[in-house]
Amino acid sequence: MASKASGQSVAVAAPEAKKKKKRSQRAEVWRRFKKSKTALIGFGLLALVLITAIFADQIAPHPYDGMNLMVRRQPPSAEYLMGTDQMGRCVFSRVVYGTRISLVVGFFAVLISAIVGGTIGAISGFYGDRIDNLIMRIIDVILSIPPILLAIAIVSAFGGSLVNVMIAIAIGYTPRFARVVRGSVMTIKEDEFVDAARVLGASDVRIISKHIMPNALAPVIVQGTLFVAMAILQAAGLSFIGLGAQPPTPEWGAMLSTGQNYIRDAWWMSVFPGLAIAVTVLSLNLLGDGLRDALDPRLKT
Amino acid sequence: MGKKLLEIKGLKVHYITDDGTVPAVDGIDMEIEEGESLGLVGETGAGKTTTALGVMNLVPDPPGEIVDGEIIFNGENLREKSREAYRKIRGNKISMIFQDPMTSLNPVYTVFDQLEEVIKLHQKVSSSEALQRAKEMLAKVGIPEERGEEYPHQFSGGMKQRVLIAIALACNPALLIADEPTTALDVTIQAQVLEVMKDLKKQFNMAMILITHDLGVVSEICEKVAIMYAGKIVEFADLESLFTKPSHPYTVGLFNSIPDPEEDVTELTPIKGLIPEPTELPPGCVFHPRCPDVMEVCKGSFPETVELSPTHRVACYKYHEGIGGEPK
Amino acid sequence: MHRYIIKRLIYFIPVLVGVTFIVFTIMYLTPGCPATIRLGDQATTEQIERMRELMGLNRPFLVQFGSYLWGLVQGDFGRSLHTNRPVLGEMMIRFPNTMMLAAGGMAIAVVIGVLVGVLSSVKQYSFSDTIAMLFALVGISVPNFWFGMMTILVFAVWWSGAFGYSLFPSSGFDDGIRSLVLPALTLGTSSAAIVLRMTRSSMLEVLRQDYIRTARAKGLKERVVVFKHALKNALIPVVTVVGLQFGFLLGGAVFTETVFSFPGSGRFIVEAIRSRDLMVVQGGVLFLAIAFSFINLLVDLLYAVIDPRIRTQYKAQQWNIPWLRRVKKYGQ
Repeated sequence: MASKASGQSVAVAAPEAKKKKKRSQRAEVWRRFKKSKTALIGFGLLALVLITAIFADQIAPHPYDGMNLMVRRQPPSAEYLMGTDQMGRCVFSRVVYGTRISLVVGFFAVLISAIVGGTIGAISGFYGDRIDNLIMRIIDVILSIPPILLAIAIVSAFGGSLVNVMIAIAIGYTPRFARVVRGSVMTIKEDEFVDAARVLGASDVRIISKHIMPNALAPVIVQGTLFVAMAILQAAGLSFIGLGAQPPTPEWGAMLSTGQNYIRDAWWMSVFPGLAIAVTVLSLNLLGDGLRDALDPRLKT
Repeated sequence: MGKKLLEIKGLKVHYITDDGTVPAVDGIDMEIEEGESLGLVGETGAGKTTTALGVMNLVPDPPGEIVDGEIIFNGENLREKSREAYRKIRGNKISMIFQDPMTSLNPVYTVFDQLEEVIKLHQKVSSSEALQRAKEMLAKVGIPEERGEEYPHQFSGGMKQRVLIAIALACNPALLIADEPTTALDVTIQAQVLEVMKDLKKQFNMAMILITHDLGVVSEICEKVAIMYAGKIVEFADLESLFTKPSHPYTVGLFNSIPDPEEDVTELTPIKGLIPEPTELPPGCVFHPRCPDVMEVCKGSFPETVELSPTHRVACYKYHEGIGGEPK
Repeated sequence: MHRYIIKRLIYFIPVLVGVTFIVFTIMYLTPGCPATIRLGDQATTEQIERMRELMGLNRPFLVQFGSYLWGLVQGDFGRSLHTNRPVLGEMMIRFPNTMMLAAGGMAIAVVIGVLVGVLSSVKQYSFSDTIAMLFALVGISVPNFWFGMMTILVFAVWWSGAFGYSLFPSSGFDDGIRSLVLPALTLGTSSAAIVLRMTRSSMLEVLRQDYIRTARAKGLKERVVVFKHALKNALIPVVTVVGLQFGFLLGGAVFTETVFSFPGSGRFIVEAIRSRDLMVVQGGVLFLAIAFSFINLLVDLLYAVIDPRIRTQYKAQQWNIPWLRRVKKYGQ
């Protein structure tokens, strides 16, 4: 995609050769990705999680808020696969619906921070000098607050809700994305095809959006995958201490918070939502690790 | 003629990779006598370093592996030795110095630390004796002893190589393997380091294998030369025979590609072609695609070694009776 | 060396001011009014207005920030809206417990992480290496508060159900070291996984270096090559990660302390959140953030001790140290 853009808008010498090289590079990445067992297992697990989220209505046997006081705190059975909670709600159904919430919160928190942080990083890396210096100092300061404390401060100030949780997490990852993008932009902007575009009179905005960003995408995707994993953990944590989703939302962290009160009599209320978090986060971590190895074999660990 | 110190017979070292097996060293023979210097000459990728690592039993495994051959040192076949026994020979009886001095010293230990370590390891000495010995060794390679307290990054490249020489010689080895010890250094420093090595070799009366691609250096230091090409030793001779009567076409090619400052040659004749990819070696004699004297027989199998004189042998069909031009 | 320390110390001050500014701004923008929270819902508009005046909430933003900062310098982190006790004093009572917990977690993380990381790197791609890496990945994927709940379930609920006594206490801090075991294990698990991954990748890089070949050529035992020559170099980036992780443990303690009802500063903040005591949240978060910055400062100074290149060469115009680049890639 990147080489195509530069090939069409700029008459670089021998665009064909360049295109071919890039394409084979992509083929090489794809080959390494297919070879990586971690990436494939992660991809498979994530696909399962996604299917659960999309078809939650079909998969869940009961409504997530359907209370039935006759069957309170029932252990797992054929009817209630993961038992029932203190209000007689089906834990399995709640876990299934919880998939939607966690994925949405994690994904959008990271998307927001990728867009905002990416833009800041691109500006910082592209213009360099004073702007870069100022932005990087601010980023250093934000990074010197542990992300979870920052999120706690923000959500406790603005009130507990999933939207605030999402924004608070996004603020924590924005400087991290800015750093990643800034790094790649600084390398890419030295490339010849950027000079060629500039000679032909392309504006800065056009150069950044059409020529530089597509090339800086790979590290953003890798980091993004790993950040979604961390964001899901954080969102669950914030809900656990009462700052995120409010009952009766079937959020995994909130479910665990309730489950903790019943851990001596109803272990299933604590075990299954946590397992769901672990599997979802693990799938993203596996995928992210695999993607990193495929995109940058030098970093292979 | 002195006593045989090291004899290598049919040594084969292969690298086994995803893209196929690379015979980096493919059945070589050579021998060195006590106190003698052997120049191991060849282009990059000819298998010189792998040969040296094979003798040290330091071939990186995986992917490398010694698949065949004997390494006889002081009458004992080293390949039959246990790892523990081998360890006691390394750095003690046989030492090695490497190509890139910049990265060959551990950055977090002082020069004294690294020098004393090898002395304490192989000799039963007290700490103060080890320090004393370390100071002597630094003096021998021309480094003021007070600099021993410093860390490697405070030394220049030439100084680091001197330190590495001091480490290698600290236990009075019978054999020193020097793998292109000067290529990474500035030209002026190269001469100094070579001078130090020449001098110490005499003082310690040790044998040396000098790996290089520079025939000039060989002519200054060595008594014997082995010419290596694509994992094979194609010619093995004493210095005089090799320089007066180079016999293998590859050796002749090497000489022709050196500018001679004494003669007024207008044109050099480089060897045509490139050294083959290690995974795609040609069949028959590995040199035949580049050889000016190539014959039909060369494409079939690798030639047996022919003895031109007791100190001069060559692996080329040109010298095979009944096949080549004039037999000896 | 001195220039390095001085430079780091000078750099530290604006960071502290910046951190304070961010935390202060967040609380300033809060929709709820601290005066209302302090007086309760029944207060009249007039009372609230008087309280705002008293608390200085009507002054311009920068003036408020300035006086907050000035208070901080004198050790005034504000007072609880409910109990009117100074936040600093309340934190100082609980913070040592949190530090002890974090230190316990870190000890577990370092011992497991470094040891397994080294073994894993020496036997790269072996079966045990694969298992170790898998465990590490699971370790960073499991939410630590859930892991804590599971340890309670196994050691306190099931164990005592089966054997009639509890192996480790599941809450409080009355049983000395024994009550520290489960919380420290919970807190340290994900850090152990991260330290393991960092140690392994750092060792793999170091083991490829020329000086390792030199060490082997000396005839050293493989054990000495690995633990003396390789590990000391490989530990330098690990120290960075351990430092960062220690800071994250202070944050993670919020959850662990909640799960185990551990009397530390994290649970104190969570209780303040539940009672909407914003001054305590602000002061507490700031306190932990400053502690985190201090630890990072200490780690930076520790480099100078471990890495002679920084110790002696800081004056040099350029130094190119590979691990610094690697830390940037893995550390965050």
